[in-house]
Amino acid sequence: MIDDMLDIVLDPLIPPKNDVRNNRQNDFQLIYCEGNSVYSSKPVNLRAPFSMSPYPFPELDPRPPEQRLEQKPKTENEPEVLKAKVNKARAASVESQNNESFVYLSSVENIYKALYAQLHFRSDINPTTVCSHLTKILSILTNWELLSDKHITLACKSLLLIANSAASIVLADQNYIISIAQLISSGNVKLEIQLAAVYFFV
Amino acid sequence: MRTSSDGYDPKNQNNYVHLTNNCLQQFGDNYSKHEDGNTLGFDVLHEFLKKAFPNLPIDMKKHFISKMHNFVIDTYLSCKKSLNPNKRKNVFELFGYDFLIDEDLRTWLIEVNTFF
Repeated sequence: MIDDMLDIVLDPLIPPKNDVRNNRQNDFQLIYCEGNSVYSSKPVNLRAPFSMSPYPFPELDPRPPEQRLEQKPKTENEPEVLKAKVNKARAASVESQNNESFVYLSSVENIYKALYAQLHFRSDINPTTVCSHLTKILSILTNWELLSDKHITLACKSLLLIANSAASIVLADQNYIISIAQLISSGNVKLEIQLAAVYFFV
Repeated sequence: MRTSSDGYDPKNQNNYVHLTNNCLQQFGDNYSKHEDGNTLGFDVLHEFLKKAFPNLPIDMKKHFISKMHNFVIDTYLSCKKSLNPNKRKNVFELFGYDFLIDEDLRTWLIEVNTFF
């Protein structure tokens, strides 16, 4: 576990000469992660549904059955199936997606590619889709410390892509103005991101 | 799993039966008398629960660890905006979670401590 922690704090700055990570057992389990982070390109959320009973065994639950809010499983396998389905839905919800025709974008690269394709090769621009991408980019940039330098650069490029296109009209949304202004005014945001945000306004 | 230095009884006048924190128990006269460092492994707890609830198919990972995961996620989400306020890269923070398992096998979160 100490080695894993050193991987986080030392290896990015002083790369190891003998990389033994491939032969080492991973002592950690990733139980929650937003998409596009350095730990996982896809969102992870292993939290069980809130409707699950706090009692692991119904036999020990003193409440009468009619007072139990949770759904009682019919078979032994059902809770696992239900849990898997709910986890999948919750993981997807971490990525704030609300467009029906939304194609899951697992990485910053895909967001950039999708934006590039839409803004350069299509005559009609769907502002809803652009807004969806912009929301994600701003969310990514707000949590920039979780990203690799490559992903930060790509997120900034995505921002500039919108700024230089006709889709820049989406900036009229007050929420985006506030988010970008917070990026610019924050003392803890990387300079590269702030420059991109300033250019976005200009 | 932390244990107290004496058998639990509300009438027991020994204050060391109420809190199993190692930082307190280590000052008790019976510290390490029953278990080394008043600590037992999860496998011992599993064996105890299997004997105490012979009719229940107790699975530590499914019935307890997964509940602890829920609490870890909930607490993380409640405070994630205040974590790493200076947005430093290549850093980590350790959290110590205290859980309690009651007589109905419910898992409770007692407190979370942070270590710098």
